Amino acid sequence: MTASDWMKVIAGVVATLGFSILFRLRPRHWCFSALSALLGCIVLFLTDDAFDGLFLPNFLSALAVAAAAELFAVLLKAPSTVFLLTGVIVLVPGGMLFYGMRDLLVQHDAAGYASLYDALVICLGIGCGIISASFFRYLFHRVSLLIHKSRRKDV
Amino acid sequence: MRKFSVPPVPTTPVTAGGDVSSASAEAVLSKALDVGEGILRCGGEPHRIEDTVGRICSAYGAAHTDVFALPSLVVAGIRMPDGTGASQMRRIRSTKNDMFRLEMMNELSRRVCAGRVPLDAVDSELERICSARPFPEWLEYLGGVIGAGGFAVFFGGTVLDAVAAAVAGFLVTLLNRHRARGVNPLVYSLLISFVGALAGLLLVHFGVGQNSDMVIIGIIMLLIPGLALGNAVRDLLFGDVASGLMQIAQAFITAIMVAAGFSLALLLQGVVFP
Repeated sequence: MTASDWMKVIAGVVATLGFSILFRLRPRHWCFSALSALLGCIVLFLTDDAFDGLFLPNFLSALAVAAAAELFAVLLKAPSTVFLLTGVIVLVPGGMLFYGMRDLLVQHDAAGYASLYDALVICLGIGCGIISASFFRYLFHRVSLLIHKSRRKDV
Repeated sequence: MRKFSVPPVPTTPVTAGGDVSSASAEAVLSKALDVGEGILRCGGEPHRIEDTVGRICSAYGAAHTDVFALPSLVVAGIRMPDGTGASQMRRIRSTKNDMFRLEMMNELSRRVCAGRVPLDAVDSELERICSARPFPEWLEYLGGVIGAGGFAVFFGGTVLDAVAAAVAGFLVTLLNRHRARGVNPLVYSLLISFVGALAGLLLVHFGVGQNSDMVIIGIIMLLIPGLALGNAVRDLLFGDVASGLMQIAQAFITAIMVAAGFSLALLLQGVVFP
């Protein structure tokens, strides 16, 4: 990651703090939403260099954010949505949507549709990442329940 | 000095069990739906509402519960052990992301399920939640300012772009917070995006920002329902097809209105400053 990337990561975290206020998070949760956004940004920049395409980097970043959100939800006894909504905002393809819209406006249809298609792929990646984290949480919950039950049987 | 803390929770433990036998199905369902409606209004997911309403009804003695939630509707029916039943529905016309109230509603439902809130105390608990605020209201403007400014830099803008986006972000937050009653929300989204984009373009024109693209992207992040789209995809993948499709349609229509507002501002810029 370059210095410019780190600058963007910091800007992303600051923006997430702004959204934490806009979404009316409890002040004691702001740092946790910023942490999940920081994780998402770092994963996004690292995987963006490592993989081609848009789906995988956004999927992995959303997975990281959602996993962090699930962890914070358990630790702080709060709904995971609280950390997920704010943490994942840095992945939202606002830039793609703007460029798509602007290109369509100036009748660069091909470029416009390409940007909107990219935005859709990113949204799909985010959705899949979030759902995967939920699935892993469910799996973890079931396994820990089974372990707990088998221990009680042994006793 | 005004305090913005949460009113204290009653400390005396009370059992829900005491009035369960005498509680009517209508009363139980009404209170459970009050909480469910509150969660949906604060931006909770439909599957969370279904889960919460079901749990609260069970905590107050319902033998069987069926709940169906959409982003704008909750329908539920219960049957009590004595065979009496009830069904009710709630229409939700507007929602907003209020994670503070969502969390408090979640806490309330946990306490109900633990048997610590009697049925007749649910109303006062909901009132307490509605009157609670996590911080002074002016902080929300700061949220809009640093949200828009931060995203202008995140998408490749300069510090000057961040300043321009922050000023326009303040304007957008102001308009968003003081939505005119009776105006169609979609038309209002169009107006806000038009004013926000116009402010950003003017600031760049007068030298406050350098890249109009980055300034507008910073502002667009405050308005675009990209997150709703992500949530919709998640609901679809979870199997909540109706909810997912409704949210996609809602996000798509809002995005079109926001795009139209920005397009109008860009067109106006082309005419006024060719």
